[in-house]
Amino acid sequence: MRVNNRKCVRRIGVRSLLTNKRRNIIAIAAIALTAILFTTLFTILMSISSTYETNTFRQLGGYAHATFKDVTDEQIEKLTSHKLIKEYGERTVIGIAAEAPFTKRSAEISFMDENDTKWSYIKLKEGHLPTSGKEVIMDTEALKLLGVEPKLGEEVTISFNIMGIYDESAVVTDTFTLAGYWEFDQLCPVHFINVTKEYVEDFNKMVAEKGYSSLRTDLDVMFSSSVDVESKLIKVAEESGFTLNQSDAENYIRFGVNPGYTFSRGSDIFTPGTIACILAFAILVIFTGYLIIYNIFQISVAGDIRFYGLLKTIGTTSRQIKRVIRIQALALCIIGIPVGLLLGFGLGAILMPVIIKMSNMSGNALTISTSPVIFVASALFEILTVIVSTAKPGRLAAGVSPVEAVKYTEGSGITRKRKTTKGAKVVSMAIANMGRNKKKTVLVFVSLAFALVILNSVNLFVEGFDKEKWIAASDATDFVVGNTGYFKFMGGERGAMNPEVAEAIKDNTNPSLWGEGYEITGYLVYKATEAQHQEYVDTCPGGQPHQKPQEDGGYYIGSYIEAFNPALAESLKVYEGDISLLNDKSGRYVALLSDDESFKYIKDDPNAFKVGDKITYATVKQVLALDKRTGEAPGEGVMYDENIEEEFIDVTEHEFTVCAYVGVPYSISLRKGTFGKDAIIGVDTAKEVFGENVKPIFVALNTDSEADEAAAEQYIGNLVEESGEELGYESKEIKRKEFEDFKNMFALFGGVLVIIIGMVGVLNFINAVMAGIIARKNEIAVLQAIGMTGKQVKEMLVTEGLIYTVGAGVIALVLSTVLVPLLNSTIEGMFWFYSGHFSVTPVLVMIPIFAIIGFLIPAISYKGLTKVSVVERIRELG
Amino acid sequence: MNILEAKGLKKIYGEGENKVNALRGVDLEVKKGEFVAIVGTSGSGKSTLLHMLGGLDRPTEGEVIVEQKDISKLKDEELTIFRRRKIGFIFQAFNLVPVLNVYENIVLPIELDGAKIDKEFVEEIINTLGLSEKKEALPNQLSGGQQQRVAIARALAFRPAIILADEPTGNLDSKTGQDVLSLLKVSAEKFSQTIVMITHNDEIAQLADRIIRIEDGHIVSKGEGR
Repeated sequence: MRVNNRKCVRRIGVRSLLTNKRRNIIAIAAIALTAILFTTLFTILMSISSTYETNTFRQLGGYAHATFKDVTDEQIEKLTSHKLIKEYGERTVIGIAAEAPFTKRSAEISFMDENDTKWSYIKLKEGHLPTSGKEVIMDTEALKLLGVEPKLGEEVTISFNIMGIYDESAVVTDTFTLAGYWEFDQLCPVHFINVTKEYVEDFNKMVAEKGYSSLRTDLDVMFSSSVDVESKLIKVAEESGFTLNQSDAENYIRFGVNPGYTFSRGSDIFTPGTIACILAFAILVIFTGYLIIYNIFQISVAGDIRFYGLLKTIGTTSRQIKRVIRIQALALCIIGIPVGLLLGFGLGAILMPVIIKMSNMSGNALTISTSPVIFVASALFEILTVIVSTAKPGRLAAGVSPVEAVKYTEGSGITRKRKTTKGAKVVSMAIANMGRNKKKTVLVFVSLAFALVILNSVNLFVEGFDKEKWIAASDATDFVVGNTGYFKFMGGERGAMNPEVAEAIKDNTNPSLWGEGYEITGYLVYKATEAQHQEYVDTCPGGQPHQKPQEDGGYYIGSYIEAFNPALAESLKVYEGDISLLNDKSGRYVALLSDDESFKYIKDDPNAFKVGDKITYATVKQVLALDKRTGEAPGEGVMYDENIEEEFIDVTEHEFTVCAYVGVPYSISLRKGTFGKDAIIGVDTAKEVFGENVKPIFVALNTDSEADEAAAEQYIGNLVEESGEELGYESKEIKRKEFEDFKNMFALFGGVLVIIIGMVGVLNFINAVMAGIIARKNEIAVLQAIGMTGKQVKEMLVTEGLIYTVGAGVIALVLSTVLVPLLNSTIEGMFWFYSGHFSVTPVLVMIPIFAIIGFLIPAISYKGLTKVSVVERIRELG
Repeated sequence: MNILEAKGLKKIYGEGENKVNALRGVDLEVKKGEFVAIVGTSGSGKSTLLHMLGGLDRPTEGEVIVEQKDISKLKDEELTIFRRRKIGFIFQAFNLVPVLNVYENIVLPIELDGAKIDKEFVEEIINTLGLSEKKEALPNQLSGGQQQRVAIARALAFRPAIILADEPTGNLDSKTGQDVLSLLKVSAEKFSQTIVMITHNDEIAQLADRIIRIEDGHIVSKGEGR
């Protein structure tokens, strides 16, 4: 009984598939829907991963696997002939421009070959790679900084230092012809300015004549895959007769592995929390798909139960019948899956920008992954779901006893006697029918009611987001305008706010409050006692260098100080003390930063400064570090842990009095912090004490009326857009939009959830109605034969349907009424910007819609039934 | 030699109040090549007996022995395979697979078994039953008599040990019924088949070699072999 019986099983499977068109359409739709969900999920995951990866490589300036540094032509030839090297590119850097206009981001003048150009994310918008003479290509931002129009053939004059030499005599100025340019990429760490190989060769000769050491050429290489780049690199070097380990050896070559390939990639986006969310979603999808597909097949198997019984009678084994069902399912997959893959990929691509916007990934560059993994994995998951979903209907069909098949009627076992004197009323018959399969009836009620409850909860949740709470909490003022660096996460060194721009904003808006924020630059520390220092070392993450105490026994700990003008200081939240002293010319006062949570502990903390205490801050010019193991200054790459001793030697101390403990709203804070004592001071005191080190970083303003706010929004928006300054801004208006986006995201995901659960509910309902009708086909025929009119049958079926749907609606209404207050208090605890309220409107709206569904589905199913005459239906009884 | 034997066959449906004794201990022997008719009124247990004999249903008590093998001990899967190899069924309601054409229906049990189709033999059956013109037709394109002839062909195609026929003429008018039955008898003789047929029609029963009467779950007359 092997092999060649498969053909006829397949034939039965496929042929009987074709007779059941309506079932097929629904099943294909269900398969496609599940496939859409899987593909969307995988598309988003893979796209997030590749976006993250691309961002990383763009920040690193390229995606070549590794680099051999400072190599000669001869070495290049030897290395590149190795079989592991799939592709390679050369780059020779001739100089660096770090002076104006490239102070912010330096420019590297180099020759790159075609591969290297590609691997450095250079995609020319116009023009060609530099090939002859003094041709040059660069990005649009570099052109802008040099004051050159992005037009091919333009003359560009650039001044730069010869690579590696930083004295005045090594500055070269030359004029080039623009051969091409590309769109500037914010993430790229430098401006690449690429010249021709010919120019580089001439330049090299000139450098040699001047007596400088010759320029270095780096060889970037690509292996066949990014797995274990370092050992491949070592293998290539060693087998080509070089060493990467002994720096004093003659055949030593310096090398570098692209850190993008060595860091654990994506580990900071795929946290256990996110992975749990992803898994939960995948399980939800499988479960949904299972319920839908299972239902459809269960209905169709129940409908064809006699057919399977017949197959069994003539000798089809259980296993063969299961295969018939599986073949049908897989045949439907052939249509459903490709449709689902395409639509799912599209949906994923549409959703990606929203997700990237919501996440805090740096740079908004978006890569939609087209990796085959998406499609293969989605298809496999889908097939798995289908196989799992059809297993039980398959068992039902396979397990049918040939004799029973003839008699199959749902719940035909007599359970108890019915005592009634009223005769057979349509409604009581309907109720009795629902009692036949209690498990199924309960499932229908529960799944329909569940969908409504979820809908109501999602609506409650989304509608409860309080816009004003959201805005009020994060914004101290209506507008904050500052240097772009100020608004970036992990800003590092930030540019100053141009005072002229600040003045212009003040003149052109009508501020009711005008605030100015300043940062004290340079290395700033506060003087800690030994106990305070110990506490700092204990709580600080990672190893800390050992600090040599000052003569008076004090230690220095890094801290930030922000300065406010008097008006802005009013926005501080005062926990204790008097902030008006910040502007008191008679003394030097600081307000220490705290927050709601930590301020509770300050009173009882013996190490904490109290209001009225003196605190010493200091600016540090020099710190000597000593590696205790070697007795020398720590080498490059050495961790600053307890083996390093630090000595602060060039320090200027300033004493202040603590006048208050305050909280600073995030929007006007420095947006960064230390483990030291961060503080706020008045701007006048700041200028008096720190002088040059006081740098304006932002202005903040309020407006009085809506008209003023709109006008200011317009003015500042334009200014930021068009001034050419490095300006950024935040406003209540932007926050409102952010809020809407945030709310919409929840509405979107909640909506999808509701639709999925709703579909499951409705399908369960359809299943119950259809299965009920199919199972009672003969019974209904007999009822009609003995005088029940078609209208009465329909009435009976519709009554059943209405009891299901309206009943579920009422259950949902009761449940929601109980649940809403409970949800309110839970969500309020989770989201500070949520305002609880009572609402069951969605359930009330849905009840009539459910009533329509409850009417239509039995009515349509009945119509299908009447296509076959009563006599034929009775004869089928066999 | 007995090809089919039933020993102390009992079948009880339901429990307690609803208990129905369909068979109350039936003993039966059928010799190879015999054509036996089982007659009885409705509710006498004749259909139940046939289901037991064909392995469609399991007896509550007793044994069914086909070719010296007790089939009531077989597992479900084994029983199905046994059935398609050893027993050909003919039903009142024809029970053809609606999606397969005449030829495919006839060879279905053989194909399900993965066995090689004896084309010559199948052709011979088809010719004997006068179906050569209808090989490509689907069941719903055939008359009742034609459908029953296809069912007979299907029952014969795998050369089963026994053919069990449950009211094979019940859905046919008496003329067609007579014709179909004659064909069944002719084919059975030609291919030396054993037939056990249920009917409530005495006229039809007269065509058999032996008539067994069953009443209320008991065999009341075993008839005489001719």
